[in-house]
Amino acid sequence: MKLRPRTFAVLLAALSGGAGAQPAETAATAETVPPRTGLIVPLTPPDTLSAPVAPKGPAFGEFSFTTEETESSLEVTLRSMFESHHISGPGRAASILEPGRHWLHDLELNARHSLGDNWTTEFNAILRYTDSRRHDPQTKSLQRLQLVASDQVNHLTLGDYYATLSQYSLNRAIKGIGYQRNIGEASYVRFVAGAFDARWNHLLNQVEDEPIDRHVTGLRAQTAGDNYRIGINLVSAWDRDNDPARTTEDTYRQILPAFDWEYRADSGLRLSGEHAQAKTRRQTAAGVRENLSGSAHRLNMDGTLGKLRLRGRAERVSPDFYTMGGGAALDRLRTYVRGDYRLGTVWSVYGAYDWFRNNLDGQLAATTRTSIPEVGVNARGLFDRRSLTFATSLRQRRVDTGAPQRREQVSERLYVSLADRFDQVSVRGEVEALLNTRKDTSPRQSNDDLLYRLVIDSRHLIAGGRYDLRPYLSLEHQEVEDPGSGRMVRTDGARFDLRLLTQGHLSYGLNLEHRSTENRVPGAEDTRLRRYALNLDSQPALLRGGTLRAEIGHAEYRFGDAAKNYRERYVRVLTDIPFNFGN
Amino acid sequence: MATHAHFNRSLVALLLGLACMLFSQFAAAQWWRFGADAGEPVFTDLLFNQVNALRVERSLQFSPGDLDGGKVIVRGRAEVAQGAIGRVEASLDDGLSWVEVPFSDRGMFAFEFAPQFEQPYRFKLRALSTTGQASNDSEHAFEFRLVRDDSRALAEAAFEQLLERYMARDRAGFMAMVSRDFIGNETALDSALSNDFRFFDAIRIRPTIQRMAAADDRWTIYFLFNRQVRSVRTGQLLQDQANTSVTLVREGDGYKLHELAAPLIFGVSDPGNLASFVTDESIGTDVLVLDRDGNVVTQPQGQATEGTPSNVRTGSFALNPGFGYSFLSRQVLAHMSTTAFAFDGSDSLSNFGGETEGGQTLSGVTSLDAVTSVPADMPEWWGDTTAVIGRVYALKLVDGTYVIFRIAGGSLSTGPITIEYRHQLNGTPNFR
Repeated sequence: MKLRPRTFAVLLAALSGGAGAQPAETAATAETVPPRTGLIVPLTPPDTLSAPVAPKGPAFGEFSFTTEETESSLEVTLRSMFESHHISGPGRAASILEPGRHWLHDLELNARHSLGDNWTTEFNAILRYTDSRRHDPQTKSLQRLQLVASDQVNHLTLGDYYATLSQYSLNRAIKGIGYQRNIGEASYVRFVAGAFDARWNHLLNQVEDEPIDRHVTGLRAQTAGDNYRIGINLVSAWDRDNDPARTTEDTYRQILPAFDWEYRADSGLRLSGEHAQAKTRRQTAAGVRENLSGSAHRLNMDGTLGKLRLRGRAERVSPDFYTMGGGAALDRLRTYVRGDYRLGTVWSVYGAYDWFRNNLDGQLAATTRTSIPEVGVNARGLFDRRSLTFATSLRQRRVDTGAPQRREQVSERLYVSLADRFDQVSVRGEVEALLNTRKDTSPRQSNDDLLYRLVIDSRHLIAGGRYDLRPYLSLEHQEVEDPGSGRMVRTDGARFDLRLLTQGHLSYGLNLEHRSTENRVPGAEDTRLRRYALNLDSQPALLRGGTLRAEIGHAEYRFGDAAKNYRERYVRVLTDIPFNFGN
Repeated sequence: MATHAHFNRSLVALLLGLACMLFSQFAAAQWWRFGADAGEPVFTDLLFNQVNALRVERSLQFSPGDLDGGKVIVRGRAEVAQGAIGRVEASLDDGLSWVEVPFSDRGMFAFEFAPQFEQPYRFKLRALSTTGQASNDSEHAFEFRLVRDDSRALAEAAFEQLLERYMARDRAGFMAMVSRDFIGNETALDSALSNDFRFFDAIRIRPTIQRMAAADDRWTIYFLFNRQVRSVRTGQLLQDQANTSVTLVREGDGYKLHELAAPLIFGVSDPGNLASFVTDESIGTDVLVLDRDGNVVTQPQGQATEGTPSNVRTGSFALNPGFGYSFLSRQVLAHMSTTAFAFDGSDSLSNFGGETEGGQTLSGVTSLDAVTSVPADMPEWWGDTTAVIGRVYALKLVDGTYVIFRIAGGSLSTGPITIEYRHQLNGTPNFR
């Protein structure tokens, strides 16, 4: 029998009698590694800083197997949460908390087994029980069910699977099958098929909030070399038109081929892109069918030319490009470019320009164009102080909507930040001003907003490093001029956090927050909020490598109308208890 | 408030002026030499395996998957403006002991070490120039730790950190955790965060993770969230509960935000430019929507990423008897010639506002959400002007745009009554 490291750690921690025990690996390998100061092994200076090509094969799924794994193992983890909420006051219905005591238990099983020299199998499942609808719509549910079998060439997943082909074609968790066959180190073929159902209960038609059944089949072939990668994707997806879960939603059926690529030049320039075409049939709830055909293209560029770093992006997604499993902002033409120039070791400047518009096919009554130019200066090491950093930027955002209801909104943002560190104390101050003007039918044509923020953050090692104290203070003042009435809304906020960490995986926390708002908008009211919380994080020996977190808190909401006031008190306890078995 | 606006602009101008004075005051000082700092060596590149560690300030954590054959290979480059690099040294014990590292003519160097689990390594790096100048060894000083957490735990921790920064309204801190390859529009995200923080206050988000899925360097976290915000404009507390997801990608010293789904959990004011798909389970669920005027309402999530068409303005107002409302200027007015309709009291509305071209009662409809479109042509005089709580009316305005409104509550006999409305600004009668 070969002990898994984690199991060994648990045994050693138990023998040494508590959470204060040193990590098992440290003790187990202390005789075989040199002293800490001798760990650094100088290497021959490299010729380039480009990242070396990883020798491993293409990644697949979320599991990787190493030769260190034992023949069989079973890990069971029980994650539990108990919370008790007490809400009082006339406005308690507005609380985000669910009154009373509630439980949430997640039982996770992870079993691994090796078949011969090459094949490894893994089974994963998570069962959940909760009595709170705030955490899950079902009292008992199967959150995860997955079986994985793999060797160096083949990977097969049944059950929960993250089907990822390319951005436009497919990037979604499914329940079904995923198979990948590796061809060499950087080429593979991947096949996926399944349903988009988010929950296993949906497949069993057990919940009311089940969306329309959506199915997908996809195929991806990828090949890559030292400086390029090419992927070809084909996805077919369809909704079940006669799904009883359907109410007024449209249903879709589509074929979507996509081609993605990447090229890395020796100079460090990286170009990548994707091109996709979607043919979609949309059917309304009334049975009206419509054929849509749309395309999407994106081109990304990232490169360094001496002291200049350039990034660029161009994208065009037509209004009728509908992707059922991928992701894209529809009906957009966008160009973006940003250049960062390093003037020296202290100063750097940058400029960026973003422009995008919609209504590419003239299908809307009005076109909205947005342009966002920005310039900024950053400095690090001012006044011969390495920790003194300064940043400022000026950004203009112009949104122009054409006829019939012509509108123009211009928002100029000035941002200044100054930060420094004095021994263990870091200080950061920020000022942000938004100057907004608009041309439309609004009663007010301009309004300005200001935000001031001061953050003090520090860390102190005390008692010879046995305790680590980390206080944090944030002060904020914001002034917002209401666009409708022109009246001011002033908010003051203060937050103080204090954390104390000990060597024995034990930490304590204190959080205090106060916010008050003075609102001069007609019909609105002043508000005040106070919160405080105490928490404890620990890894007690009793839990054998597990964790315990306990939190107690209080919040008080006050309004101009006292009938809305309420208070919250809560206690929350979370445990994470692992049970490991191996042979 | 024009005076205050003027004050704000003056304040900004003053800040700019002070900044200029600061620079001019010290223009002769040594630091004001672009790119030509004192003769101290500096490090311009620093890589821990694939991770760029040049800007790491406090700590850098590696999961076992970040190791290369159980080791960390550190590669970097030292440069100096005057003279040449004469020595490079590294320490893993906060400078108690240093190990000399060979370097090339171009200042390139490399070394490796095999970290142990949970052992804190207080990393420091320094260089010495041939003129005797030493780099500041506190600049690249941080704690390195190999944690037992797998990439899943690191991604989950990054998600929690994003939530914390969002709830703390720390825009700059949040944007530092957004990937350069963010699938949506990162510039729009920056602007949307500014809007969120202007118009949301006391943000609380409580997520319950439903499942996490990984592929390549990415983790997607699917979760059910309970959210509460306070509208800065009205002081009202609003809540919603829905399913959504975020995707994180390993980049630099940690996991960064890579993709957002609708309903949006961050940057709520601009779903059309930020969300790249809609979470199926949340279609039809009421979610928070923030419009460009700072109004916060809850509306059903649609099948498109934009929960409501971007050209639809939403809002509400209160009317006392004898007053009308202008949708074009968004004001309560006493003059019927410049309003769309008026409230007479005694359970009736006046339907001869000068802003209205036509209108009608939408019989059988009790919710604005239920209205997908209204007739393009409506009679000049409404058929039934009785004010009924819950009744929905449609209007065509003189500028060719359409409005639907609903009497949400109040006293129909003495007032005031509360009206909620949607104004389709794109000139079509479609409200879907």
